[in-house]
Amino acid sequence: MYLEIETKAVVEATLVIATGAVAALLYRFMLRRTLQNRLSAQHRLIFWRVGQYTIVLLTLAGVLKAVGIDLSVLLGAAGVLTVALAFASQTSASNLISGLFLMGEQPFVIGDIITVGERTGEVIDVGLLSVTLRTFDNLCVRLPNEALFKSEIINCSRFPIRRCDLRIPGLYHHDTDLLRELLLDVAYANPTSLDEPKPQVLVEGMGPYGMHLKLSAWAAKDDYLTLFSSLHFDVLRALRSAGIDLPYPVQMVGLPTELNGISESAKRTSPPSQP
Amino acid sequence: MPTTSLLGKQQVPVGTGLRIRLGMLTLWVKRKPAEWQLASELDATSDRPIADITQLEAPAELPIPLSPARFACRTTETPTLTLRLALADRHIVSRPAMRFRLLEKEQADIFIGTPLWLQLFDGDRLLCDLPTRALKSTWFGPDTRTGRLCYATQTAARVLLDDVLKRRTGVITKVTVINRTDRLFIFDRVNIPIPSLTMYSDTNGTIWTEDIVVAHDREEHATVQLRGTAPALAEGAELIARARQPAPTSVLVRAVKQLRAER
Repeated sequence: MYLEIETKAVVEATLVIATGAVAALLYRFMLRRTLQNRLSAQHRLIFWRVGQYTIVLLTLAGVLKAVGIDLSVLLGAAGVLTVALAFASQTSASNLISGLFLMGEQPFVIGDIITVGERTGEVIDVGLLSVTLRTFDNLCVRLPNEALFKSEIINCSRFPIRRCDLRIPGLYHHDTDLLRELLLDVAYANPTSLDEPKPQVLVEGMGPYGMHLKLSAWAAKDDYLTLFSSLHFDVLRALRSAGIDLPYPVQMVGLPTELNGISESAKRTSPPSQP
Repeated sequence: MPTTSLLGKQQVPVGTGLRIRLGMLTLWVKRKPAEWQLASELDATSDRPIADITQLEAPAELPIPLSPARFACRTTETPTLTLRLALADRHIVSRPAMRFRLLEKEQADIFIGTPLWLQLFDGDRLLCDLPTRALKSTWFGPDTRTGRLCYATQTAARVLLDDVLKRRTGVITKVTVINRTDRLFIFDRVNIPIPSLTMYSDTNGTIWTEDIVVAHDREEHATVQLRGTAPALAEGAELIARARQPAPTSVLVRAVKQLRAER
């Protein structure tokens, strides 16, 4: 008799698990069919995770019921445990709530390039507790949602085009009109620089050696790094061929006369002999 | 030779090759026993309006500094390539070299030239799809957040067809500009939805797109309408390439900010 009940329970539990698996597959299929083109990858992921967790919880409850475990006892115990868990899982809860806010606010989506603190990378996963980045040197970085929520997030790929700025220190004796024309020509000639918005050269201020100029050119977001790098090379090449030197810091060191005297006498003194 | 003479099939026996030149593009093709090798170069200093195709006898060699793209394929007795011409794969923003003004309640036809693309197929399989001119990209939109990436070209915005035919390079689009407002209209730049246009050739080998109409009906607003039929000025127009993308459902494309009215 005992064996028959156990077999029945095992069969029931297996059926529940099979039903859960089928339900999960169906849910995934439905999600793909209905939401593939309507929602972003991130929203689809949220829908998938919420449904997945619900199916797992219901399946677990069904299995426990099938093998004869009273759920009300478990739920009662869970009530007692809740208080202890609440103290123990403050950080997780904070991450979870921050994650929900981040998902609602959507400062970035999967595939975006973001900068948080000193980290820049592609968002490869947005979870309930953390966000995973793949940095450009191919490191996987896990950022807790709470930390993200409190931090400044720079989304580098939200808009289709980006501006690339180069700061060029000019010397006061340089012909600034010539320098300006030369920089604009370099920007226009660069194949990744956009025709519109037009490249610009602006004066940022007066420095100790000359005027600080800023060359701004625009590129499609995918070409930003190419433009940034090639523009530096192009500007240096153009300045050299035009015979324009960039100023570099010069430090003058002067020695007082009496120190010079000490220095000369020190030179004349022979080194002490070794024992 | 006219550009349209490039179109069609070319037999390339194993060991031989082809050199195709059009505009700034030079394309080398080499056939090996089980592969195609392709190398291309865009040279801004040599812009050929006339197409040129040369058979390279065995053993055909590709230019050494260029690294060829290799395409594996089955070995056949008579390897054949199909050459096709196509229009640009993005919208083209054309800016008149000299600012063009249109009086109130007036309309004018202008001719705008845009570059061709050269496509190579093995059967119906695309091997390459290359522009025949080096083009810069530009942004077209009301601000830096909304809009689209397009190619930028400059146009002489000629109003006489004979002037255009004398200098024909690439493909010609007739644009009818209509100013329905009571103000002088400055044609600053126009966004031509090239990927939605169909390409035709006339009996002289001139390549055309279907005509378009740019209507300026109120401040900061203009619409571009595609005619959807063969160009009226192309005698004996023959369709040579369908549009890359279907035309927008309403056939009206908003073209905001490229046309301005003043006074």
